[in-house]
Amino acid sequence: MSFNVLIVDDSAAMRSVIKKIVALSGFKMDRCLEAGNGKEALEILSHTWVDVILSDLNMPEMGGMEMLAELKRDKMLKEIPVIIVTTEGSEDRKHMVCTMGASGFIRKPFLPEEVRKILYQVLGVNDEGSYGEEQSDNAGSDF
Amino acid sequence: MREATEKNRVIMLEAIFEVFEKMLFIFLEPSTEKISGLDLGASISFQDDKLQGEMRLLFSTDLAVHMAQNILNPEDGRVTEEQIEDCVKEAVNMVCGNYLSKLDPRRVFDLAIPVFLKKPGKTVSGDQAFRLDFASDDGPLCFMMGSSVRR
Repeated sequence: MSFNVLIVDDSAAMRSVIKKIVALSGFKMDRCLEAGNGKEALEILSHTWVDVILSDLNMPEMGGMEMLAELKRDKMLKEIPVIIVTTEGSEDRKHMVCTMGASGFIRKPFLPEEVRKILYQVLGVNDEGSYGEEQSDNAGSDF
Repeated sequence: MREATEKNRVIMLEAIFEVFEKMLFIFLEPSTEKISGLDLGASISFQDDKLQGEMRLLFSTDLAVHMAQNILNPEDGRVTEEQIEDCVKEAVNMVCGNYLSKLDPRRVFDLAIPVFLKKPGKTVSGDQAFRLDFASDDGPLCFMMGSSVRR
């Protein structure tokens, strides 16, 4: 089983870094879509299904938290797991994104194995990328 | 004061190595020589209720181009000035965020938007200021930070 991933970041360089690290991680990725802000992400989601979103917080036009709020208001999209990828690692910030409904939080810089672990965890699949036995190790999410 | 600066230096070294190795695929070696040939860079300001400061990363053109190529993998190997600028700004943003969360994960800092420096100055201001120089296969890198306690 492979998954469609949407990367949301206003920096093309950072989208490329994240895409590269996800690919290096061995995560089974089918399509990788990119958006420069929350508004562009919602536009993509209006016609393309994705399994998981990796999003920055601070972006022009529509930031990560505003996008998350929009997703949670939408019947079709509210179940898509959103992982916040940010340089801001304070406990307060993690708590805030958790209460807003993000499924995970990963702080830059991160290793390929860290991103793979959290991706499979929020997707509820095992490390082989299939819906098998539940993982016993739940590390990888900061929640 | 000296002890605090030394502690900051150790945390900063760790923060820089992590970002460059994990995210930018560049391996740095600390250098004791003061490096020249730093053509461009990026700066970021940060503050919370107790501390304010500025960090700068200065690159040789070769290193900045190599970093952008590493990140973007262009088919023809070419990167534009705009792409180099984006990569350099992201690098300083990540180093700053990583350093501050290592300094104290309970504190919430405001980070300004990174600024690209075409002809970077070689000094930063602040009550505490330090500089770290690095060498790499693709050219030198210099990090500078100045910070002051907010009054």
